[in-house]
Amino acid sequence: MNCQEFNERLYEHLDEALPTNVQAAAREHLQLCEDCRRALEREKVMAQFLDSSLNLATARLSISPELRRRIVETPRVRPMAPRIWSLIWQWFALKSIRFAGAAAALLVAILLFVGLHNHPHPAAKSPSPVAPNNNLEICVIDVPFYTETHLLQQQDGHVLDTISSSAAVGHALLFESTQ
Amino acid sequence: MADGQRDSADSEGAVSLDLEELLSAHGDRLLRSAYLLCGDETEAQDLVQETFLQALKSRHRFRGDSVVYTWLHGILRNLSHRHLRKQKRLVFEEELVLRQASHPASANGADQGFCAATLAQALQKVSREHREVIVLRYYEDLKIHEIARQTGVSNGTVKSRLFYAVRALQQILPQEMNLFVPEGTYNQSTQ
Repeated sequence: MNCQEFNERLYEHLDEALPTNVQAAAREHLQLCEDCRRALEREKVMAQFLDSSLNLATARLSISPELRRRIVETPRVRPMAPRIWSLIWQWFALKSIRFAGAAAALLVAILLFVGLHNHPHPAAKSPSPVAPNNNLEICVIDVPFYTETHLLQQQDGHVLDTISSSAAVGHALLFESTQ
Repeated sequence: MADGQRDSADSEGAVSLDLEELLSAHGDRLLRSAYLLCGDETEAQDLVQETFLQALKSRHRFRGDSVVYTWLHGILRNLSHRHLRKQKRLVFEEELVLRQASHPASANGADQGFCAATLAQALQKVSREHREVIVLRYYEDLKIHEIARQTGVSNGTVKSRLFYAVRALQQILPQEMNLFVPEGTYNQSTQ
């Protein structure tokens, strides 16, 4: 084994993850090569320095009673769903945005269809169900209504996020005849 | 170090996924790792909370092939990726500058606490891939092939990232903390 080959395997040598014969060749090379011994030593010192420094930097951190309570109590409120429902929900969540869009489009189409067909046609050729009468007065009451469709992500009765929202305006036409 | 802590909740064939036990065995360690990955204590707490919730939701996927801690840490890592994508990282540059200005550089190196805090802050300035590989290798003590498996890259990529990550850290750290310059930690320790 030469220096380049050893350097390429330095980490695996430290991990003792090399095949036995390669590990033996690495040890043999180390006995002969001062530079590679220093490189190995440098890596060990650096690993020790980083390990102790990072441990020291984070030693003050621990799970507080408040955080423990938050973690422990949240899942208790809502029992785990069986796996099959979880998979179905995941599939649904992936499709939800497209689904919400399609649902909104469908809703608008239905409202338009209903609105157009129920709208009174003053020049309609078809005979009116109500016989013409000079005293007859037809009142058309247009009641606009506003609908919103929201797809929400909920947990424990609380809304966590809004996945999609859509809105549509429809018209309910009410007819009233007075004599 | 953490090995005993990690293995305490693992037993072959009967892996306990009781939340209280998981929290006691791995909570602190995960919180510290989360802090190193995201650089903010409050966000680290949120990440840990979400990690345990995700773990409970997906516990049916845990087959006991790896130790529980490694599994939990994998979830934490994925969550921290998402978190970092959503939110630009907060870097404590102001605090770091203040500390550097108020702490006189000494020829024989700064005190350990200062070194540790400066290193943790410097870690937040390197790229996500570099920070991750440093934390996994030097804080979590993972072997190269374990890091490769966790991050989904080859052993060669892990080694390359380690090399560049250490180099990036050395460029950020104050001169007296650079490991391999003449007045650095390594040369002092070997003199």
